[in-house]
Amino acid sequence: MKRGMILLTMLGSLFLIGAAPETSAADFKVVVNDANPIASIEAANLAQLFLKKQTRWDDGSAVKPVDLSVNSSTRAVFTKRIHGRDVNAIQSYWQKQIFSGRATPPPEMSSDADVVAFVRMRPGAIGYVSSEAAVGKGVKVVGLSE
Amino acid sequence: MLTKMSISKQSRIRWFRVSSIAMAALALAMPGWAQDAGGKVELHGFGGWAYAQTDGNGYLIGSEQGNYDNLALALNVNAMVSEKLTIVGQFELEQRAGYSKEEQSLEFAFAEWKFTDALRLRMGRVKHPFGLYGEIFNVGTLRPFYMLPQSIYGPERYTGNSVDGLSFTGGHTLKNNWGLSYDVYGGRISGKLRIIGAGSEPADLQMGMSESSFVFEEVVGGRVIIQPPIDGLSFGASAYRGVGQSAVGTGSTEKALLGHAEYLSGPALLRAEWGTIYGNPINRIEGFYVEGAYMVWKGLQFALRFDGWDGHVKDKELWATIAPWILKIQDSNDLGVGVNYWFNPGFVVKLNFHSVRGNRFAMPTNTDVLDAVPVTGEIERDTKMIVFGAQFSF
Repeated sequence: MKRGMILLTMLGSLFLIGAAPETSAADFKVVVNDANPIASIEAANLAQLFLKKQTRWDDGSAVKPVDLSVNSSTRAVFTKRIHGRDVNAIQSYWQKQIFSGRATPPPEMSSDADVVAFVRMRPGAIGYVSSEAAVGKGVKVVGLSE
Repeated sequence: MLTKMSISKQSRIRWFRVSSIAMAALALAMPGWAQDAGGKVELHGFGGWAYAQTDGNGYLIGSEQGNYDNLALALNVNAMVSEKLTIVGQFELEQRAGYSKEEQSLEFAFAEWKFTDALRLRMGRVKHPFGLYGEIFNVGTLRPFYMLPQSIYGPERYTGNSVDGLSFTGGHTLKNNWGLSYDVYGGRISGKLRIIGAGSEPADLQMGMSESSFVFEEVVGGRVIIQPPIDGLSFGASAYRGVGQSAVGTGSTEKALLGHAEYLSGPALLRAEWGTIYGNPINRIEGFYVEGAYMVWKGLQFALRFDGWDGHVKDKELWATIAPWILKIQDSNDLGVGVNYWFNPGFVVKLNFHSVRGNRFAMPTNTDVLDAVPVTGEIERDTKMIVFGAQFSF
């Protein structure tokens, strides 16, 4: 019991060491296929889609989220804002899902152009790209609300 | 000699068979994996290696002379047959120190039919959805210590390796961003139990103990996890009941209860679980652990854990008469300290130190000393172990 109390004290101290560093990088915009009727989406709902906790749109069709690669600064910003955690934490989340046989992560694209191409080809797709990225025909930008 | 040779040959044949299956799975998975980023078939895996040394007793993967042969590799294949049907399997190979045989196990293999996100039916073998680690037992990149907390996930009867049967799982977002996920299952739980004197073959001795299997039949169980609207925080409860078939009780209905809480936020993690299992004729068991870790700089992480286990023997007077040493192995606690370096979330090098008091999981590895335990009841209570290893996943 004494050893347990010592440990609890040490753990408490550990959590006082410091706060997580703030992320600063370019902003992002959320994109969906032109056929998708939504005009905006709530951040909490977006998180559910990208963690595959919600896998259907309101019309019953399948949601197909697509991520940028783990080294992307846009992904870092998106993850921090939408999930409230860093990319490493989300990768751990997916490890847990995979090795318990529950789900696999969204595919990862190496560039904004690849994300746009993925979304253009799939009616149920949703992705995010840097705010400067061109989206072109077949893809539309949707608003993001808190 | 002949026996040793035949065991060795059998072992090679087994490895060949297992490797063939693994390679076939890999070959099957690769085309789909590489071909479509949408992913019809995906291949993943995890594994690890560790060196472990103690100052006397054998403890988990360590012995006084030091062990290099702690190895594991698992392959996971996930096939999305359709939007509603998924087939998943995971196969694991494990070489454990002090154990003469490699182990191969089909960790899970099941078909899942998704009615909705809140209702998924699974048929086949699933990992035991029990507590925080029950489904990710051997995935080292999901925990701060090389070894799991033994109080709940050790070679006792809390957590089965798998559940064979039928299960339902799902999740739902509630009002104000609260979340809830659940599992309900029925069937059979099987797993491994390590106790003194259960095995008759010296080859079964592992770190001073013998390993046998346990099974719970007619199992009904479940788990609920609640996520409040605080990023990274969750808490929940797990429970099951089943008719036990093991070296410590056959035909008795046993019940297990577990409460768990987890907080994962950026550089910090904190986990705690408390559980009890009761109903077998010998003892009631209680386990508790709390672990925390903090990423202090880039991939450098410090970790601490207290892990306590207690067995409450039902009829002490009886056992004092027929096997007094039983009473001496009813407690264990492990104070662990770790320094880890995470190259990325899929690869970590760990240096862990454990200070163990009690003999539920720590025993002499010398068979002469071990044979004398039931007679003299004398066992060294304190054990120190250092573990250095790497764990990966992809």
